[in-house]
Amino acid sequence: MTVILTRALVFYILLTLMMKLMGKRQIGEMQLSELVTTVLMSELAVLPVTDGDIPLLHGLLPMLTVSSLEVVVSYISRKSARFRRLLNGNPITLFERGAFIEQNLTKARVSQDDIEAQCRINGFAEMKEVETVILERTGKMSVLPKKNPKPNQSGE
Amino acid sequence: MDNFVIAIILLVLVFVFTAASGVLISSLCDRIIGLCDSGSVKEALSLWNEYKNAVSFFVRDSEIDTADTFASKFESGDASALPRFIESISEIKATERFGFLNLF
Repeated sequence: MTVILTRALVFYILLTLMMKLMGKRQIGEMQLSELVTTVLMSELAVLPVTDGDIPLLHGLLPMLTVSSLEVVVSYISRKSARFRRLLNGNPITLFERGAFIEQNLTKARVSQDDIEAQCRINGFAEMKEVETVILERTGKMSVLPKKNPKPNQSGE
Repeated sequence: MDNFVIAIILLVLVFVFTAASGVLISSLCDRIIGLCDSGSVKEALSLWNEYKNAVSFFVRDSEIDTADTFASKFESGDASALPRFIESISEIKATERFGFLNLF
C-alpha cells in the first residue's frame, strides 16, 4: 500500500510539472495533438501506480517523452503554418448565407440539428439570424450573426 | 522558447538514459552468463545479488523474482536450477537490450 501511495504522489507531482511544461492550453481548449497527449499521459500514469510489478521508470520515461514531444510539436506548429494545418486541419465553414454546405457537413460529420442546437446555445432562435457557422480547429463552432438582426441574448 | 529548450533537453536525457541503462544491464547480464558458463557460478551469483536491486529499477519485479528464486535454489544445492537461472538472466537481457529488434 505504501508503494502505491508513494507512486501516486510521485506521478501527481510529475503530471503537474508536465502539464505546467505543456502550458495552460492543456486544461482549456485542446487541439488534436494535445488531446492525444493528455489521454496518453493519464493512461501511462495509471499503470505503474496501480501495478506494483511495473517499475516506476516504465511510466516516468514514456510520460517525459510524450510531454516533451508535445512541447516540441506545439513549438513547430506555432512556427510553421503548413505544419499547423497538417496537424490540426483548417476551420470548416458549415453554414453560409442562409444555406448549409452539405459537402462540409459530411466532411466534419456534423448534422444540421447539431448546428441549429449550437446556434440556439449562442442565442439565435432561428437560422435566418445567422450569417455563418464555422467549425474551428478546437472543435468548437463559431456562430456569426447577420448584420441587422441581433441575437436574442437572454435578459438583454 | 524556454519550455521548448527544456523539452529538447528532456528528450535527449530520456534517450541517453534509456540507451545507457540498456547497455549497462545487458553487459551485466553478459558478465553473469559468462561467469556461469566458465564455471565461476558463485561469483556470478554474488554479482547478481550485488546488482539485482539496481536492475529492479528497470525490470519488472516478476522477472527479478524468477531469477532470484533460481539463484536461491542453486545456492541451496539444487544444481538443476542453474540453467533456469541463466535462462531468466537471458530473458532480462533480451528485454532490456538497447536495440531495434522486436520493436513492433
